[in-house]
Amino acid sequence: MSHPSRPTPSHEAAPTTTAVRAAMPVRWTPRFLLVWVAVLALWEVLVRVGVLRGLFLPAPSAIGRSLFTLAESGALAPHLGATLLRITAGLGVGAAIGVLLGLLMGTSRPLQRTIDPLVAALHPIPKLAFFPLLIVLFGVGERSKLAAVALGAFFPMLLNTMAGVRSLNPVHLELARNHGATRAQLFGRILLPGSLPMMLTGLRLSSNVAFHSTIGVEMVGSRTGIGSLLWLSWQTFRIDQLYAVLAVIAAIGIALATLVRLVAARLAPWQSER
Amino acid sequence: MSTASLGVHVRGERLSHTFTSGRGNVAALDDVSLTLRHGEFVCVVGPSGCGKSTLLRIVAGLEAPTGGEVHFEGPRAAHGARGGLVVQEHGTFPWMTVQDNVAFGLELRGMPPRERRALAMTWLERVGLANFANHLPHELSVGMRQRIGIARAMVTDAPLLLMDEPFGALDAQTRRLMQDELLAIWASDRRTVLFVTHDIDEAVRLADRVLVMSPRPGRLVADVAIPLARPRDLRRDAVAAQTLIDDIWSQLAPQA
Repeated sequence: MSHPSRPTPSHEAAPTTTAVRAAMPVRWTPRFLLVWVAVLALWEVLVRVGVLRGLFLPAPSAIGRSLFTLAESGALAPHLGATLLRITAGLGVGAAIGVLLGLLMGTSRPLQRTIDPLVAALHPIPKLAFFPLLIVLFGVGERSKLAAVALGAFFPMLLNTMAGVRSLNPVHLELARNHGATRAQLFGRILLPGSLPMMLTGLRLSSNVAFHSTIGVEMVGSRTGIGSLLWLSWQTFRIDQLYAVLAVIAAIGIALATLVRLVAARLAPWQSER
Repeated sequence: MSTASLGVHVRGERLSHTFTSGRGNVAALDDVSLTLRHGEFVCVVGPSGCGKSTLLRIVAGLEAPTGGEVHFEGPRAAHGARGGLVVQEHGTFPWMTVQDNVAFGLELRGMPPRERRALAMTWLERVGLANFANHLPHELSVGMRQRIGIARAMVTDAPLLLMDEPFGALDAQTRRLMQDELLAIWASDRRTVLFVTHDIDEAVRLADRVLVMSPRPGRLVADVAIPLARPRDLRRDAVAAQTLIDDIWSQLAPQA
């Protein structure tokens, strides 16, 4: 992507290209599959010949069987559903608020100057650290979990939306003004689409954080969800299942990243080439 | 055709502009007066930073002069400089198709989609981009994107084209081609053009008149008529053209 160098926005608002590289999306290339097949085969052999101890490092076939049993027995589906719901709802709420506030802060200097110190101080805190406080505020039920996930999703979306508005090309605004654009037209036809690529970078980061937060709160304070199943597997010392649940988590992560990438390519084809 | 008989379209009176920043004031433009007649093609030349772009932006209404006034006169006066801006770079909206880019001004005016797309299409055909109507600008070359900007200004019937080094980023060959295309378009419907460039050859090729500006603060140091016959053929009129080019260079020299 050849784009003119613009002033680098503050905070962690990463330019799209580097963000893509940092995220290292899974690509279903022959190489990807080959490496994984090779690793799993080697692992299987090493366990079978007794080099690796099967108790802590069970053979992939055993993990596969455990995964199959989990799915077969119907135990997995409700947990998976609960987790996906939390990611979606938390991401939806957090990202929506982030976009709204980001647009406001991006267009209003005074507002940005007022809120910037708050964001700067709160953003570096791992959002999971707020979870106990959120339980105090929202109770032990679903609302505190939703709040924790939304809080994590909120910050990247806010920062990237703001940076997107700030990095609008002034020439585009001037051309629109020269054509007599009203404020509403400037917003709808220039500001919104112009900052969309950065918002989508925000969405990618936010979805990642929402996923992390969901697994986190489920491990700490939930009886449903993949995170709680993972924790339960360890507590009951079912190591096969522990690996199986990790595989499920990996699958969710890959699916989520792929989905966000597809959405981005669909909404902003002029930016997300690959 | 003589343009002297045509009525005044734009009158800039004693325009001055001073940029104020934290590091102090910079006088960009000092007491510049200019008159454009209807249908006239006027180029502004001068060294980088002489305020020629500022002058254009003031006429476009994008910058309020710190001194002086711009008036529009004649039948199309109410239009002002609306929709006529063509810039050097980033003149296309990357999120709109080529067709929607061209139709942008019409869209803002509330023209229904079918109607504005049809109108945009006629201009896309004229600038040779009809086959790219549904492409996004990043799929096109720089020269093709420049045509989008010109088509956008033309389709809105902007009576006054304000062109800020529109061919500055093009290679020599494409630039020559675009100059010829612009002249052909201009010859067919005779809008008033204010064209800023630092390329004196380009100015002599295109303009009825060339305004020469001094380095900062920008002042008008000469107003050179280009009496070469149209359509222009600089090979045929090589001697006369070179004399004009030399003349403009000599106007620039004392300040350099």
